[in-house]
Formats: sequence, structure tokens, C-alpha cells
Amino acid sequence: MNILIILIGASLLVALFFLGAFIYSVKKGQYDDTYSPAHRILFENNIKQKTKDQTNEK
Amino acid sequence: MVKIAKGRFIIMRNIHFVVKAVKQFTSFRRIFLNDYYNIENNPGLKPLDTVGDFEFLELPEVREQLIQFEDEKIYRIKLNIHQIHCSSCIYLLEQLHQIDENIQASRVNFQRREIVLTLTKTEGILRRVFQLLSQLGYTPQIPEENNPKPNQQSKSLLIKIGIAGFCFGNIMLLSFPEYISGNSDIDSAFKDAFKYLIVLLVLPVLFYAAADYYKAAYTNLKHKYLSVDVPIVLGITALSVRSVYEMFYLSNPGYFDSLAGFIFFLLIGKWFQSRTYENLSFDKKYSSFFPLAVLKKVADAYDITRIKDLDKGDIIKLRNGEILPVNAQLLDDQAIFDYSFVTGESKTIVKQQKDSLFAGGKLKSANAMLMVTSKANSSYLQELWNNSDSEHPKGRTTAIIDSISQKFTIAIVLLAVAGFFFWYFNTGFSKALEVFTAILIVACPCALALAAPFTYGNAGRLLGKIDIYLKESSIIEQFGKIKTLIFDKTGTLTQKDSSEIVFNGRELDLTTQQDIKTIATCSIHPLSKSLVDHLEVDESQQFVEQYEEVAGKGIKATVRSSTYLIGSQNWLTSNGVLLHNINDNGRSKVYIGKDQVYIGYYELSNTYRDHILSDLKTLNNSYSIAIVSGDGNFEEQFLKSALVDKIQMEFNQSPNDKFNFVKAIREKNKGAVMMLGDGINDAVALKESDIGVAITEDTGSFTPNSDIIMHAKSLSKLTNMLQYGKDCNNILYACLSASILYNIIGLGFAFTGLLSPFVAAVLMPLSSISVVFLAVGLTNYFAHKRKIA
Repeated sequence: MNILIILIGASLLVALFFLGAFIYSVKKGQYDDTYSPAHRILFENNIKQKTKDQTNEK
Repeated sequence: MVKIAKGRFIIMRNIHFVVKAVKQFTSFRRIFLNDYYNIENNPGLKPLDTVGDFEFLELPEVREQLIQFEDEKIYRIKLNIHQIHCSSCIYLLEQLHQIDENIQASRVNFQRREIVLTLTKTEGILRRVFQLLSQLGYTPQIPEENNPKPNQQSKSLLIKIGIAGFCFGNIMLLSFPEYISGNSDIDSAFKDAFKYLIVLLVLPVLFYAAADYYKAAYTNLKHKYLSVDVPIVLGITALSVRSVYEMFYLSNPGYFDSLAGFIFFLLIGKWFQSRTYENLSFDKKYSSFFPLAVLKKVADAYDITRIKDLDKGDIIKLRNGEILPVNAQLLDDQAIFDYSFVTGESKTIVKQQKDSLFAGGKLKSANAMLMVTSKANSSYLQELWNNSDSEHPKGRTTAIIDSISQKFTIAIVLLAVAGFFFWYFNTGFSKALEVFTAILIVACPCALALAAPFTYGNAGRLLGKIDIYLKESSIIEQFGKIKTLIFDKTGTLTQKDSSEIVFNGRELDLTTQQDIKTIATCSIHPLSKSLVDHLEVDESQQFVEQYEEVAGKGIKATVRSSTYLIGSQNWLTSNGVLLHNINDNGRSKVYIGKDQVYIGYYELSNTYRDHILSDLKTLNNSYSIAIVSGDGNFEEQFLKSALVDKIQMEFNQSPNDKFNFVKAIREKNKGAVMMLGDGINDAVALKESDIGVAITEDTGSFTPNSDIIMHAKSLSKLTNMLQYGKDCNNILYACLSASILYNIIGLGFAFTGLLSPFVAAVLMPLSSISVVFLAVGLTNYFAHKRKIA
């Protein structure tokens, strides 16, 4: 049963890692702007342009 | 161009944008704009025709403020752009590198309406970028220096919530075995290990996450004031002392899971309430409305000089559309100024040579030369501002909660002492102490502390959806106390830029109307512009000959061999036209003469916002209403007939008069005063009122000293908003009753000595969560009922 103590310690360490990741992301400003990244990912900037230009050339 | 037309520009009113944009930037690729319109249906920002020269960017001081980073090759600058409002804006602004190759990259922060640009170092690049952005309709502003602070606070709160949540979850997990099994089943090795782990985990909650509450309670006690923080700290102390005692002396389970959960919920409540609008600035300084620099005459040339560095006797050149930043004397023969910025009066003023001018006027005529008569910081507005500084503390937050928590704290302490003595005489000291701490633990005002943040926080969030932005959501509480509503007229009750134009005189035939419009198109005078907008005929396809415009007087021009005189009364008389049927009611008028014969005049009056007058009548049933205006009283008759007599009206009010008016009303009747205004001329009055509401048509404009920023189109929801404020107070009382009910149950357990950690672990989160649900649910329900959001 003593293995439980080690396991709980290990699970706490994993949880601590995530807490650390959270604190890091807050400090790096990842929560500063929750609007634009979500939209930015949808902008197809240059890829779409190339394909359209190619079709026009044909 | 044809390809574009084939595209998807369904929205007709935006086409002019595309055409203009394409003309201006040939490097705009077709796909580029196609995407712009694909992203949102209605992105519409009109590009501006005229943009400034931005010479002030050449000043080293301004550059220093603007440039975040520079090396031999690049600049990195950060700008505020209030006009950013949708994802299409983000797209356009992040594609700037396609327009100008010297722009390497741009990154938008939507929440803060900020853009960070990386630029290749070339001659005049900064000015070019500013001009480009302004042309696109995104007027850049240099960020103020004191910006980063609130952000830092919200970050530390987020980290505290993270830590408290983490500890809360793990403590719960580790306490769980204690609850489900009797003591016998668990290995004592486990028990000890868990115990130390729990204590280890609770330390960051106690000493880091909850630190703000100790500070707040300490300062409150020092000022002999029992805020809600005091019972919170009392509860935390009782919980921790009792838990340590139970765990280490009696080897019983402690209350640390309840404690961590309690602090976690409190912090969430705090976060919910503190979510503010970072992009809005509720307290703008006067100086931020003034230009940063002007052209100062040095020898025979003009130098760009910062406003701060101007001295008495300097000669400056002001260009059309610029705002006069200092008090000055006019050196030119004549100039037209628009002082609506300061006085709220919509009429332009003609100034003659040697007239002295107050800061704040916008030049409406051709360039003018002026002599500075006083330094920038001693202008009229600045002095008015400083004078009003010694005023009442505003927006005392959550008075209801504070007054209740005072009584609550006293009652709890008395009850705990009573319980202590009751059990002391019946059983003994240790049982008495147990009951004493149990009462303090269970009465911990978790629900009390959560009720207000969630009620007002959620209500504020909902109001934000209809473009009513609260500086602090707790201001809603004050709505219930309002007895007087004071409205500014120009720009608040009336629409800012639209005026109604009526023609008086001989009926005009079509060609005359066309000719007038054609001539007016040539002029940049605001009245001419209004005329052009008003006349719904096509321009005549004729040449305007012998066009002559005298600033401040009028226009003389010939079309189709008829000579027109358009302008002031004086202008026509001095050109030998005899006027008749003149009705001098103080409104702005444009007189028209054709071939030396007077044919009539156009009269401009303000248009009132839709339904506002009927809304005022309804509001008058429950509030006393006053209208103060910087304008002359020429609208008085109309307003009197459209409204009820009870409404008080004051005209010709200077900013200072408005301030005194609000002050007098505040002193006269007991209730709170809500002032609604739009311009900088209302700023002092907004400051003096209990709730200052800035009415604005775009959220980047004038909002000094406001508690609420309201979009003009939401003004019709004013009645709903005020009612909703009262609802919120009732909701708060409902939540408080619920929390007191829980407290009575809990106190029952505590007083009889039956409060086990298990009961506490169930009862305390249950009460907190049910109060949160009650607050959020009811605020949503009433928002729906009052047609908000």
C-alpha cells in the first residue's frame, strides 16, 4: 500500500507542472487578448492568394 | 476594378470604400479586399479624405514615447486605435505589410485596441504609417504612459485563482478518505502523510492567495470601519486555528478543504467583478484631446513645437481643422472657430483681428496666425478642472453590503461569545471553545461576499452587450438612489452631426437647387457641407465660374450665367442685395441671393434623437428632469411644447454653470444625481454628479470623468437601465436572504456543537454556489424582462 504514497506524490508533481504552465502562460500574456488569436487562425493570408492567382493566369 | 465589382460586395454602402481604397493604394490586391469583406458582413469604416501631416512625429520627445525598440534597421512602435471593432479590422491591420513594404509586421491586440508595428527604418516612415492608418479610418493615438498597471493586477489575480484552485482540488482529494471511512480503515501512515501534505498545500492559499483580504481588513480596522473583509479574515483565522488544533492534537480531520474552497470562490467573485473594459478610458485628461504640437514661427520659418514648450508671445500657425491648444490672440483679419468642444454650443464663431481666444476652439476657416497669450497649463479649461478637484468621494462601492456586513460582524461576534458562555457554564471550557470557533467558521460571510460581485458583475456584463459600459459594476447599486436626471442638450438629446435644414422664402426651382448644391460642393465650410447633404438633387453639370469665397462671410459664384451669393446676412448686404422677412431667432442661417435678388434662407436646427422626447416625458413620472445647454434659448419654445412644464431648462450655460447647477441640485435634494453629457464642456459637471454618463457615438471620443460610457443608440434604453438597476438591488437582497438562511442552518449546527468538518465541507460550498447561481440567474432573467441584452 505504501506505493500509494509515492503515486500520490507523483500525481501532485504532475499537477504542479500544470500549475506552473498556467502561471507561465499568464505571465507571458497569453490571456491578454482572448479575441484576436481565435480569429487570426482563420485568416488564410497568402496561400489562398497564390491559388487564385494561378487559376487566373490559366 | 471590374473584377472587384464582380466580387462579393453586396453591401452597397461600402462600395465607396473599396473604390477609394483601390484608388489610393494600387498595391491593394483584389484578394486582399475580398477577404476583408468575407470575414464579417459589415466591416464598414469610412476612410477619411483629409488626414493631418503628423509633423509632431519629428519631435524627439514624442518619438521616445512612441518607439518601444529600435536598432539600425527597424523601429518597433505601439499605437492605440480605438476604431478596431471586428475581426475584419484585425485582418486589414495585420495585412498592412502588403500595402507598404516598409511595414514588416503588424500585430493587433483586440482587447486593448492596440497595434504593434515593426517598421524598416526609412526616411519619414513613421509619418507615412500614421497617414496610412488615418486614411484607412484608423486614427492612431500614442499610448499614454501610465497604461500597464491594471493589467498587472489582473494577472496577479489570475495567478492567485490558479493557485487557490489547485490547492483546493488537491486538499479535497486528500481529505476525501477521512470522510468516507471510519478512522479504523486507514493506515495511520497515510493519515500522517496526508495531513502534512494538506498543511503544505494550504500554506500558499493562506499566505499568498488570501493576502489581499488581510491587507484590506487591516486598513479598514485602522479606519474603524467594519467592511465585509473583517468577518472574512475572522473566519479564515478561526478555520485555520481550529483545523491545526483538530489535526495535530486530536488527530481529527480539519477544515482546510473548506478554507481553500472558500478562498477560491472569493477570488473568482473578485475576478468576475473586476473584469473591466481595458479598451475604454473613463478618465481622459484634457491634454489628450489637444494636439501634441503646433507650428511655431521662428524667424521666417515654422518649427514644430510641443504645446508644453510654448511661451507667452510666441507666434503660432494653426491650420484648418486643428484645435487651438492655448489661449491666444488672433493676428489675422478674421477666422472662424467652432467652440462646441468647450461650450457645447453648435454655432461657429467668427473672430476678428486682435480678438482673444480661449483654448479648445477648432479652426474652421483657412490657416490662421495667432499669438500665444498664456502657457498651456493655465488655460480656462485647465483651471476649471483644477477648481473642481476638491469634491466628494464618488462611487462608494457596495454600500448595501458594507452596511449589512457591519451588523453581521457584530451579531456574529456576540453570538459566538454567547455560545461560548452557554457551553462554558454547562459543560466546560474545551466544548465552549469548540462552539465559539464553530460559530465563527460557519458564519464566514462567503455568500455575503459573493452576492455583490456576481450580481453587479453579471449585470454590468449584460449592459456591456448593449453598449453601456460601466467603469465599476458596483455603480449599479446607485441607480436606485437616483432622483434627478440632468441632460445636456447638444450632442446628448440631439444628434451630433445631423441638423435639420428648412428653407424659408420663395420656392426654389430645380435648376436653382442644383446650382446651389454645385456651388456649395466647392466650399469646405461646415454649413456648406450641411447644405450639400440636405439638397437631394443632382449637381448641375455646369462649370462654376468666378468662384470667390471670403472666410467667415460667404461665397460668390456664377453658374449658367446667374450669379449666386451664398452666405451670411452681411455678405449679401455688402454685395448690394436687399434682405427682407428676416427672422432673427439665433439659429444658424445661410442666406441665398440670385442675380442680386434675395430669394430666401436655409435655417439649421438640431435634430433630436429618436424617441428621446417621449422617453423624457415617461422618465419625468419617476424622476425630476433638467436640461442644461450651452446653446442659446432658441430651442426653448420647441422643447417646452414637446415636453411637460415640470422639466427645468437652463440655457446659455458655461461648463462652470453646469457644474454649479449639478452642485446646487445635489445639495438641495437628498437623492443622487445622474448627469448625462457628451462633450468636454460637460466634464466638470459629470465629475460633480453622483453618476456621470458620457454619451458617445464612438467609444474612442470624449469620455472624461465618466462612470458610465453609453453609446448614443442605447440612450433609448435609459429607462430600462434605471429599472434594471433597481432590480439588481432586489436581486442582491434575495441573495443575501438566501445566504442568511444558510447561516442560520449552519449556526444551528455550530451552536449545538455538531459542526463536523464534513458538514462544513458540504454546507459552505453549497451556500456559495447557490448564491452565485441565484445572482447570475436572476440578473439574466431580469435583463431579459427589461429588454436588456
